[in-house]
Amino acid sequence: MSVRLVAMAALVLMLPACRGGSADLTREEDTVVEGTVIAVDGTLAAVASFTLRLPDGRDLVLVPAEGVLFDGSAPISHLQDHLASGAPVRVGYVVLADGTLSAVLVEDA
Amino acid sequence: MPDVRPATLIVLAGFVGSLLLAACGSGPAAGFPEDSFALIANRDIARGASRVLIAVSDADGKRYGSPEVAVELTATPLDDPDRAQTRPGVFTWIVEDAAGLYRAEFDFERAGTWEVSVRAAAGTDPAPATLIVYEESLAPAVGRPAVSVPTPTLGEFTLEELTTDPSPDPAFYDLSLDEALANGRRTVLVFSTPAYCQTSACGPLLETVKGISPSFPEVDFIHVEVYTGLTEPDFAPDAAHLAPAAGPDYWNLPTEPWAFVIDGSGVVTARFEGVMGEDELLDALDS
Repeated sequence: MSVRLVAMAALVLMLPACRGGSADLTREEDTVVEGTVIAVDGTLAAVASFTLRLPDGRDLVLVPAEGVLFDGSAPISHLQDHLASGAPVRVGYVVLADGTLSAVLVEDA
Repeated sequence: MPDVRPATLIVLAGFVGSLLLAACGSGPAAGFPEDSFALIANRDIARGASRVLIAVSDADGKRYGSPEVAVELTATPLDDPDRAQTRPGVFTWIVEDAAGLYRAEFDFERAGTWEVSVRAAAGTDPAPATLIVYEESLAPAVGRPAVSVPTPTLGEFTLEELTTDPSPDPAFYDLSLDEALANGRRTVLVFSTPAYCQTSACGPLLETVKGISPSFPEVDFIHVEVYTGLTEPDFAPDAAHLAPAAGPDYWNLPTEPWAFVIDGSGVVTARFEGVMGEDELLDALDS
């Protein structure tokens, strides 16, 4: 497991505490997925959402968490490059209370 | 063991190799596998003539297509299937012999939801892609005036402050865009952030422009880095550091990289989002 994944897990555990302990997000058993980017919505300033197609054929629509960077250092809009090239990505996400899949880690798979 | 001449062995080896290639499904005749699907790889597609980049993928992310796999691309408005348009797809490698895209220019008569299908001469057709055609493009469209805005130059900044390109061409930072648009010469304008796309789809665009620039001394070439504050200790490639020229007040780019060709009167004559073949840029400059 990479350092980033450990950091993501820590972030997932810390977020409820930062929000006053409210249970506005839940931890799913499988929060790290790999797949192919098939759509990116938003602008250079802010990626509103992106769609990941998983190897089993499911599509996940994910919303980048505020401040998340690609691989920790590149702009999150770099997802568009993966859309063009097909290079797979690894995404760690948490499920918010409203059902939004919030991507807290996005990196090359 | 019978006496077999070396030439015969070479012919036999070639034949067996051809069979293996065909069996592996990567040969020109293979077309696309049953679980493949098309997807649209560029964003800023609007009513009128628009360039569309189309990839063929499977759920594992494997990409299909090559210059040898000729395809027809058909765009169909979902509310009026009789208005379908078919174009030959032109293939461009992103990663040589590994991944590439087909492209075509369609004349979208209306905004709305379209479907784009890919048809090869052999094999299964990939599942079609859905495409949203907007009423207006975000970035300046072909035929529209280029947006005049000062861009940072070597007169004010160092190369390290101007670009993340590891091998920058200083000539690309001599002239501010507003000056270029007023001098009556043609301009090729590139928005990109090379440090973040050295090895994938977006990396080659600036390199392609740099490669052909010596052949066009009568054209001004300008690179605008997508982010500013590159040498600041707290720099991050985020919205707070988005270069004004690339942002919503000026060129309003939804993605990067981009290349624009602008004529001597300041009108955009060609534009390329994300992936650009050298042939496309040369055609735009020669026309």
